[in-house]
Amino acid sequence: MKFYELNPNIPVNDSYNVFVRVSSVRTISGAPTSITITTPVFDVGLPWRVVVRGLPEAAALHWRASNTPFSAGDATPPWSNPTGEYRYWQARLQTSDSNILLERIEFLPDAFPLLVWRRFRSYWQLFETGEGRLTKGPFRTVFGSGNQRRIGENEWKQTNDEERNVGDGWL
Amino acid sequence: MRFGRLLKRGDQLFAASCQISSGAVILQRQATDDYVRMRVPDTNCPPLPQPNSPLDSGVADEAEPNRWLVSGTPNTSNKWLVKQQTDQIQLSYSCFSGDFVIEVSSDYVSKTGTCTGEIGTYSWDGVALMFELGGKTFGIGVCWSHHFGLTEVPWGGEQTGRSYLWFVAQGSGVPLHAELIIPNAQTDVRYRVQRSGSNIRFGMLNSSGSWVYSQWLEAGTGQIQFRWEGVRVLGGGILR
Repeated sequence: MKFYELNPNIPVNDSYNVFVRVSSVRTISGAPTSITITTPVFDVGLPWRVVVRGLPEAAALHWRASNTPFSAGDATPPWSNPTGEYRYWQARLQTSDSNILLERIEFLPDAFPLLVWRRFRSYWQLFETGEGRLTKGPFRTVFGSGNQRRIGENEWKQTNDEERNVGDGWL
Repeated sequence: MRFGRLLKRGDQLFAASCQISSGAVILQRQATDDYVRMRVPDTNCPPLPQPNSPLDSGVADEAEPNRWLVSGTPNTSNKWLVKQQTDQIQLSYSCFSGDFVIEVSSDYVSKTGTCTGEIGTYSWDGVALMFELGGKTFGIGVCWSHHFGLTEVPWGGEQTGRSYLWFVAQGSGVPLHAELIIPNAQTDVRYRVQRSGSNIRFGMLNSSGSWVYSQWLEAGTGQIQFRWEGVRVLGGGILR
């Protein structure tokens, strides 16, 4: 409680505890016309069809994509909600309603993996998509890409010969 | 991959990597969940959620356990009942870089305790919307008012009257203050805070439905963090 005494020489003996109800607050003017949250540019590794979702649905969702790298603040590519296969994706969620909270932005693969097959050092994947079955590949398999330990000024020892699949596991 | 909720490896919170526009603020709901809202104090004063009982309905206040910083024991089951001596409800972020007008609906409910003073002295007890700006404390609120030997408000001879008080305090000096008594005011009366440039003024709705404003007060620029807090002003100061 804030306490101010205007004239301490004239005592007032006050032990009141007042109860006040606050019912609402609203901005008459001065509120932002809208707010936006923008994700970083998201590299999915290979050109890929992606479903972008924003929550809540009442918020406006826009996204853009390209197969050429771009920065988050670039003017291009346009925010045109493309649906093709792209490697680089970015989304933004927007509302002009002060009662709406911007909850989530999701990048989901527009394909469900059914099968993987391998030939030599490459592999392929079969997906079920909204537009039928889709084969992706070949993907390269890289050997000797596991952990390394420095053992000299210019010497490194391979400590793990784990295989890693380039372009795999990004979701 | 998702932003705003950590459900799988690779997910990120908004605060970790996303950019917001200037009128927005990122608030955390849980360690694995954050969201974005407009930087305004608007609320219908619903029951406030407890920490760690989050929803993500996207509806303001209903799912915002960290929007309001509460101390004391205000009863928020039916709007927000704030006790002068113990309670405080503060917005957890600041608002408004430029000009603005906000309007509060509030009302005096009851009191406990006693108050005595010499004829000619004054007392105001209430709960005010307060904020700091330019090194000063500004406030406007609904008060119980004694003018000893003259009137006692909210009733003071007007059984349905209400009393507002606005004030500006700086350091330990005597606050600049003024009072408005509204006879026949009904419940849910309203007051305003308005900024234009670097000046602030207060508005109070009279019983005729017209806004009565204070003079413009030198304040300052920059964002403001609002709070409701009890206030007591005593003595025989000069009413302006």
